[in-house]
Amino acid sequence: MAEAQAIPTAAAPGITRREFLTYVWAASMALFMAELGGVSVLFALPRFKVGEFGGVFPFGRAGEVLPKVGEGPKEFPEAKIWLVNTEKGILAIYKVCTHLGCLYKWVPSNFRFECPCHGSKFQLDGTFIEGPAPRDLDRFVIYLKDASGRVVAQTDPEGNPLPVPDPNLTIEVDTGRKILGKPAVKGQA
Amino acid sequence: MFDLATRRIIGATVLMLATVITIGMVWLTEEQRMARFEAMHKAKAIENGALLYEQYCATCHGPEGEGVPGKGPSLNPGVFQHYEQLKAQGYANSLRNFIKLTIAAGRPIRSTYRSEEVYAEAMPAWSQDFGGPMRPDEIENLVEFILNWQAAGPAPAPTPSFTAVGSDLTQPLPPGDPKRGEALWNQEVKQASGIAASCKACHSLKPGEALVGPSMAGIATLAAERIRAPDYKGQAKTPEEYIRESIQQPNAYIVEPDKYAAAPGVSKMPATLGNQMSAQDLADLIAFLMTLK
Amino acid sequence: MALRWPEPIPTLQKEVRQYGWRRVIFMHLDELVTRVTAGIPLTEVRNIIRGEPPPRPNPRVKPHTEGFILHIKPSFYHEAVTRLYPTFRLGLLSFYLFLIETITGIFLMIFYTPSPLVAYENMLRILNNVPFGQLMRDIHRLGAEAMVVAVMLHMLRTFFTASYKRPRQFTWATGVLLLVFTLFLSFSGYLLPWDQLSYWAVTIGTSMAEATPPPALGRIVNLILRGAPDIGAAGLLRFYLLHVIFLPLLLFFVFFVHYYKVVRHGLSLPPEMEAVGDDTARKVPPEKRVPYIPDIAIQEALWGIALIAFLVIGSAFFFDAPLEQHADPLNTPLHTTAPWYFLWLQGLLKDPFLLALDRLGLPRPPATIYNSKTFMGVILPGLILLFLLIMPYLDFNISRRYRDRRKALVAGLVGVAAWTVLTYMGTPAFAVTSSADVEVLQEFMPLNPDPLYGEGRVRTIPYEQLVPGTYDTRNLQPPADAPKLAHVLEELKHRIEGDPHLPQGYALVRIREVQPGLKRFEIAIYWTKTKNGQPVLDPEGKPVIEESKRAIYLHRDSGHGGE
Repeated sequence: MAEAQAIPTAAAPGITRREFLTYVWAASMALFMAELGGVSVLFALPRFKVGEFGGVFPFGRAGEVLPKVGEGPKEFPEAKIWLVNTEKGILAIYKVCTHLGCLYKWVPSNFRFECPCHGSKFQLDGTFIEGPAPRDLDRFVIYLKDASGRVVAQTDPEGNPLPVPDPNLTIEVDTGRKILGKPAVKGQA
Repeated sequence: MFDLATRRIIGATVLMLATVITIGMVWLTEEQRMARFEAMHKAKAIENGALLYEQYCATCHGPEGEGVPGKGPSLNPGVFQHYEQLKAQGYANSLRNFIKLTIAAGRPIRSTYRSEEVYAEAMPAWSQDFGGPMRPDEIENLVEFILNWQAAGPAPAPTPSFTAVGSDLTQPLPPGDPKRGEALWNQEVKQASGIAASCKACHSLKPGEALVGPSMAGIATLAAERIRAPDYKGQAKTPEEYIRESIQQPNAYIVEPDKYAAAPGVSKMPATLGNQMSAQDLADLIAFLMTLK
Repeated sequence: MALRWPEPIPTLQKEVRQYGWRRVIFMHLDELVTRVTAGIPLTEVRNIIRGEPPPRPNPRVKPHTEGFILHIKPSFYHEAVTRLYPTFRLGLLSFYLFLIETITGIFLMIFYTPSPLVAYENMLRILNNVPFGQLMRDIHRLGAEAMVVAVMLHMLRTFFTASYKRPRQFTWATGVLLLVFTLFLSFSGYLLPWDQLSYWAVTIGTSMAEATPPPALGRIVNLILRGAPDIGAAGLLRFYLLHVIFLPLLLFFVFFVHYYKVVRHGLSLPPEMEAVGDDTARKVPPEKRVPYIPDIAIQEALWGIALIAFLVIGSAFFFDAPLEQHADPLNTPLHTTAPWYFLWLQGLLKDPFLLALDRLGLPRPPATIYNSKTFMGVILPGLILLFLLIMPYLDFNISRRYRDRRKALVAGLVGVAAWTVLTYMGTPAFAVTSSADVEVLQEFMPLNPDPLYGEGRVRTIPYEQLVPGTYDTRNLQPPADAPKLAHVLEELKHRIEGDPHLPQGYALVRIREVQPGLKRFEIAIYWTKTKNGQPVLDPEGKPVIEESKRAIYLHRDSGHGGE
């Protein structure tokens, strides 16, 4: 408590050998605990195999699997994405609406995505049109790989459409790396 | 030198550090170890699958997956080629799933995708879920084994060039060696096409034991009787010719059609067996069968 | 009267202005430490670390008198029980092991589902795709074995130092219960990997439950344990529940009764130190007291760290928990065996009584009077358990001295010896053999890892040395660059030629590459059929040759070739 005392010191000044060794021991135990924490996290963090949602999905040759520019999107339920091909490039759009988590639908007659839960609407490239959603649709990183497996191109960190330079490249979508859509700007039709 | 408590503190620190270092060493090698284990378990799955294949599948699909005419189509490379054809027609499932489904659930009727082959039976269902004997993990192991044929690359089965006897009954045959015929029967030597003769898959040598086809016990005597029977429709005049005709043109005369016909006028015995054998092969086989009195 | 803050109301700012930063930090740290330790101020903590003697009054007992975590532990020990003898700290080790098992077990539960459809695949995932998965599993398994050993040794120690005698009989009884719980915790966990070893070991164990008399009760016990007539999805789920919640809770509560009683009566002194009939463990003269803080605390911490080091380093470098083939309910492997701590039961089930009668040439009693499975599997073990529980209450010898307890000590040693003999009798090597050809094939290429032969001789051959071809043991010509193959072929030759049950025996070994990276290895054993020592002849006068063959497949990556 708040008493006017000098800070009490030990019986003899300085650190004794036993005291020092005890501090060393305490440090080693602290190191062990830290290591244990790391082990626990690494142990418990799930790892996803290829083909599991949360992991990478290979889709084959770009020329075969992509829809044509001007067509509607192609869905891949096990990866939970729509593959979209626009003039500016391709996108792998997450099927989950950015409002509250429902799976929105593609409405061909209106050529846009519409969510049945609360009415959010999005363009083919995921841009917000109207509704309660706070942002554009989220998308996943796409890797374009050549025949030897080297990554030739991938989606940029903002999630913009990725141009495909060569239809023989293979497409892989990494559902473990999600890029959030840009904040919704009202008034885009 | 040190008192008891200090000795204990030192000991505890040393042991703690040893533990920390050990966990660190494990940390550094974990990715490698896991990859090694994964490869090892996949290898074990292939080994188990190979045993299952030998036990359940080889009789109809051949020990090398080459297929047995009249019993089961080629898997290596047959199933991989077939899958490519299916994909071209829009089949959306993976190769692994296609193989797994076929094994697990079988087929409702005999497969007809190989128009020149007539199979004796439809593919049975093997999964315990559908009345078969195999557990799910056993089917997975079998699929790994079969896929390993593809992983090995295209089947290295160069067809040696030879002249097949086909269904030509007029081609003269060289003298036959019954010992070689027996070796052909037991699949110890292969036919000229490089593929083992599949006779014993359907015909037993034990008297009275009918597998898919009738027993060959005493066939030499039987052949002599058959050509004298009033309902014999074929053209053979001697027992050797009868046996030759049964192999090259089985539809010429079907014994007991209600048991051994796949369709009216079509024997369960495949009509294409002659394509696999040379004249010498055929002569040797006939010579061997003629020793079974 | 309303509560009032002292005047002036202290704030951090005012305190710093008055006393300066250093003292303020010290004061608050001191307060924190005093609260956490339930009454030891910061300077006293430092004195404890330095090994200074305690002041009067002694604040070092406060964690025991006022705190929660140490409230059950005594604040001082008699110095005679602080050395290795007489306790060997086995009780402490058992408790630590229970804690370690609980923690590693909870980690493993993150990735395990108790269904026969996925349990084995979960084990594969833990080994293949979870960082530190193998280490965690190995620690859990090694810890389980160590816990059974520790608990058994603890019981033996308590018996030999006569610490079970009055007034500690109830403590002993709770300890026997804890032993039973530990054994069944280990047994129920054994089933969870759902491999061939687990499945069949547990099938044998639960079949004994079915033998409980009368038959109606046995059937009910069996159904409740297994959830079905044989072990399947229901059995796995029930064993899982036993293993993760029911038995741990029981053990937890009985343990606290046990430890409370231990502390209540005090750790018993070495027998030679006390007058016969005295129990002075609670009355420790001041000069013999060793305080818990810091001396015993350091000692117990050292034991805990040593145990962790043993488990971690042992699992990382020396010990690997096995995982065999997927459980196959249709196929019992040869040499199926119970876990080692139940081998004595398996030895009992081979019925030494009947074996002795047979050896002496005496007739066996009829099955209606003597049901071997019921007697040896249920009644006798039940009687042993009952005897263990009430043994202290039947002990009227008040002396704990070794020289006054000769009969009891001898009886104890005889018990240990009997347990050992029964354990040996429970091993597959004893009295369970099949035909000679099957034994040879089992030694060289078992389909499941064998407790006697491991993976078999054939799997010791490196993949490249499996040169395709046919090898006849009567005329071995192995290829020059395959020494290990040649060695194993020689072994096979000697094994067959030296076997009296395989007259004129020889083997044909065929190696063939089936797929790139996969070879087929077949052993075909041939021998002459004999009856009463004479070869059996077929109708043509030639000796009948018997054949027995088996093939396995060996893949390049499946880990054989290194032993």
